[in-house]
Amino acid sequence: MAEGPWFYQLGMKEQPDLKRILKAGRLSNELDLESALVMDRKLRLLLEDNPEMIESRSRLRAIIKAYEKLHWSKESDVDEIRIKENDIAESIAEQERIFLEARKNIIKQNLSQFKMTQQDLGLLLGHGKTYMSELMNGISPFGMRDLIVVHRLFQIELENLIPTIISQKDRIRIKASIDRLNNPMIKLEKEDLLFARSNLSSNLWH
Amino acid sequence: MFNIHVHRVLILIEFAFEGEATVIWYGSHDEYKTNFKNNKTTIKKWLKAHGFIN
Repeated sequence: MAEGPWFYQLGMKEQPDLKRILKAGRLSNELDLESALVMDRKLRLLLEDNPEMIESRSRLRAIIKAYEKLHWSKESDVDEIRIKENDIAESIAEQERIFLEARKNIIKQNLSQFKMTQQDLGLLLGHGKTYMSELMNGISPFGMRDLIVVHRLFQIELENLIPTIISQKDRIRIKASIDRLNNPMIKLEKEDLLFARSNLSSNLWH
Repeated sequence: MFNIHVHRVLILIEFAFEGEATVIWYGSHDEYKTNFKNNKTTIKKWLKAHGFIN
């Protein structure tokens, strides 16, 4: 879990979601691109145990290539704004990847403690083997109901189960609102929205 | 523009997946030395930490 308060939750539909990307057939922005690259990385490792995912990976790579050809090829007009947008997207996708990896490990530790397999958990949640792999690896987003069941079953804190990374679109909107608020106690950091700790009682967040 | 005298790229080539190549890291030679310390053990650790290998 990254440091700092995470008080603004990324909407479930904005989390990395292979099916959403495959259905759309295209990537919309740099965050989509970086999330898709992370998914491709994960899918490569999952293919050994889940060979049925090969077609999804091929389609995902074709979608990535189409986006890169349009926005990052020799012919495309790559300006400073796009480079900056990509740097931020890369940082968000990496935070997300680290969070999802940590979540997978916590759930696996608990499964092992309760002498359960991933498939057993799938049975409890009503999901098949392949879909459980996608959920555990953050390729498809867990639904809120699933996460609540996992929370209640294993007593894992919700902040370790629910990603609370702010989407780029929301960051821009929130940054503009913060500027209007003109309150020195609240500011937008690169990592997240953080209250200026020095101005607040430390008990507020701990 | 890529300049071989300065820039370095780490490429993943998948012989089992239509021979496709993916750029997984790029930077200057100095960044390469800082990140990977000129040795395979550090590269392996980096690949593991970034989810490229198990």
